[in-house]
Amino acid sequence: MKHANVLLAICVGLVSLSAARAADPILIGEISSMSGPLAVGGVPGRQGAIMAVEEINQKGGVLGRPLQLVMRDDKTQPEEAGKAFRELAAQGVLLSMGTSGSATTAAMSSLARELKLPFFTVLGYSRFLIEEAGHRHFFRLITNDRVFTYAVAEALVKQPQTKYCTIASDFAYGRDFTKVFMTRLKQVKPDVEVLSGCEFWVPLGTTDLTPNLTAILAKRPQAVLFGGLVGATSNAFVKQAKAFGLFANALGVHPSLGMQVNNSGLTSKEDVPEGIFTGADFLYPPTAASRAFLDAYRKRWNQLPTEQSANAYTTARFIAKAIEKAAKVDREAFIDAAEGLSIDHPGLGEITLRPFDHQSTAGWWMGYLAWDETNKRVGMRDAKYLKGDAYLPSKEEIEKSRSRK
Amino acid sequence: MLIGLQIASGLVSAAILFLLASGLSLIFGVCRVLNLAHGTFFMLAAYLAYSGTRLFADSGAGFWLTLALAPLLLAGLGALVEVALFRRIYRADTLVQLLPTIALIFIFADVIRFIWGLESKTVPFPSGLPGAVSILGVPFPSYYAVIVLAGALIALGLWIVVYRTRWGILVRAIAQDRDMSASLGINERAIYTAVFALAAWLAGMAGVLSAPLAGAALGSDLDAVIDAFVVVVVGGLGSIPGAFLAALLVGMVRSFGILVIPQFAMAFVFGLMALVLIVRPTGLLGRKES
Repeated sequence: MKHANVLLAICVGLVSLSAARAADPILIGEISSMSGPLAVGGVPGRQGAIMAVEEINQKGGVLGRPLQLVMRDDKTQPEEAGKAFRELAAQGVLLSMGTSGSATTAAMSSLARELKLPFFTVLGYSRFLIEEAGHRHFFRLITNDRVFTYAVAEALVKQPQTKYCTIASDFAYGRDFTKVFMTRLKQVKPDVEVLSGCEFWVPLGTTDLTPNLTAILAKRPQAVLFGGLVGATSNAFVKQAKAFGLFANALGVHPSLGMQVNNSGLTSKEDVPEGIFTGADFLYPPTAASRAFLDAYRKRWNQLPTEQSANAYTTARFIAKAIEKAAKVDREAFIDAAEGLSIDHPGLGEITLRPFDHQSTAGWWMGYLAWDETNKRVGMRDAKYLKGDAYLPSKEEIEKSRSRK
Repeated sequence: MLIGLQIASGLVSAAILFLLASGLSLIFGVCRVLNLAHGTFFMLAAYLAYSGTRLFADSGAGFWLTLALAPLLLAGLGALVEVALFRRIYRADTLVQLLPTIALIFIFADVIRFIWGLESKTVPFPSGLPGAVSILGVPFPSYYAVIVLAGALIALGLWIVVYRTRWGILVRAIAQDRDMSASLGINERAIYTAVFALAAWLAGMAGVLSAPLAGAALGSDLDAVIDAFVVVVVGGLGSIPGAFLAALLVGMVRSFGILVIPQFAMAFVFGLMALVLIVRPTGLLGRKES
């Protein structure tokens, strides 16, 4: 009986397969970190992409053909992602998207240039990817770290604090972020200083931050920049700093702690200290669009969406819209159609892909970290949306930085 | 004030390091296997602390119940792993012994991922503690004092068990000469199992005690076993007093190292290990292999 069922299922599968032949699907590559440390971003990202493709196909697909995601796991390793990207190229995907971190995204960008195969990143925030390293086959609908670093640094001008301590994970992003942030802050607020001996670097992934914390406390800073701490380390820092009452005496600054990838460990009201200055590229503002997205996502996956869900969802819908506009399934025609195209993002409103650098105008929500009692997760209070355009380089600056290379 | 704060936070690190390293050292000293999966016991305990504190949340003493129960569960798991796996590889080549312990790391990491998911977890501070206590004249969150106190008490208890009981004599006899002990009629199998259970219990205590500070996160298993390994090498493989001394030393080096050159705090610890290996290859209190 059991075997009969399996046979039946296979037959049904074959029949439906041949039915789908009527309209060949358009293949879209989707390479995300489904395992390894960044799976915390990759999994919700893929779910967002799948949801978008399901919605599009329900409405009849694109150019009369369904979209089909060809999915691969990069295991949070650039080599794995590169291998998968070449495989997908051989399989004839039109283009590819992927929710993986900055190291993987940089590797994918070089490959995209080499293979002339468009690639959309959903989690690589490094600004250089669209500046000196940017090219025709690389796209980003999410914002970039120049936007949120500058936005938050400039917002601090109005705050009274001038004596800073910094702590960051000792890796490329942690160092780059801390340097760029403090440089910008000192430019716009010249009386800011980092207290001597109060610049800390901790091993990536460490959760024992007490010795650093006690050293910071002894220096009595007015503000602590810890935006270079990521993942479990940033959660542990928040927890331990709260126990010592650090945030009662000093302003905590972490421009991306509002992002789920950085705060997923903070799971109760008691974990979230009041008054950390932060931001995110998705939160649950009471707009109809974000509410509808949240409800649909929860219905489909029985989970709350994260910023990766919303970003991958938007990226997949943008891709469909650009193919529709190109009116044919062709890579170069796709790129021409995508340039300057706009799409509605459920958390950020309308965003536009800038034609000269393939960076979207997506901005950043900025506010104070707070517990969101409705959704039982970390949110923000007094959140304000800052448009990305104001902080992005101009066309001339982009051309200059690209030609220098 | 700064010195006092750094000593106190060094003591907190030292307490956790000792709990981790003493178990690793005990297993190596008695069973002669290097259990690379020791950090896995630690990570598993942190996740159990997360679930336990939620399960017993209504009782008002959730953390303390978890602290009592979770390490016992791990002791059971340690015994099980010994009987099912390690017992079969004691006489094997060192490299052959290492492979199954590495396999355990991967298997348990996947099991944990399956049960608790990818996101890291935080564990609330236990209820019923005063806000802050004074350690060496410095106000410290009282939970940190609990860790230091627990570390010291367990160290004392461990010393009594190993050096002042009949069971401890048997353990040390086996550590010194396995074949001679066996020929004298000591039931070494039972002792091996018990040592694994004890070591897993110690790692479990470390995992649950550090959970309110560090939370539970995938990947903490490898960090923990590397830390423990450094302490064991500095203190001397197989030596409990050595692990105690080395844990204090490593905790302090880390705590004060960040005052000198913050990004080299870990390098100082590994520098200490290299120095000890050059001056005393057997570790501070280790003995030469016979």
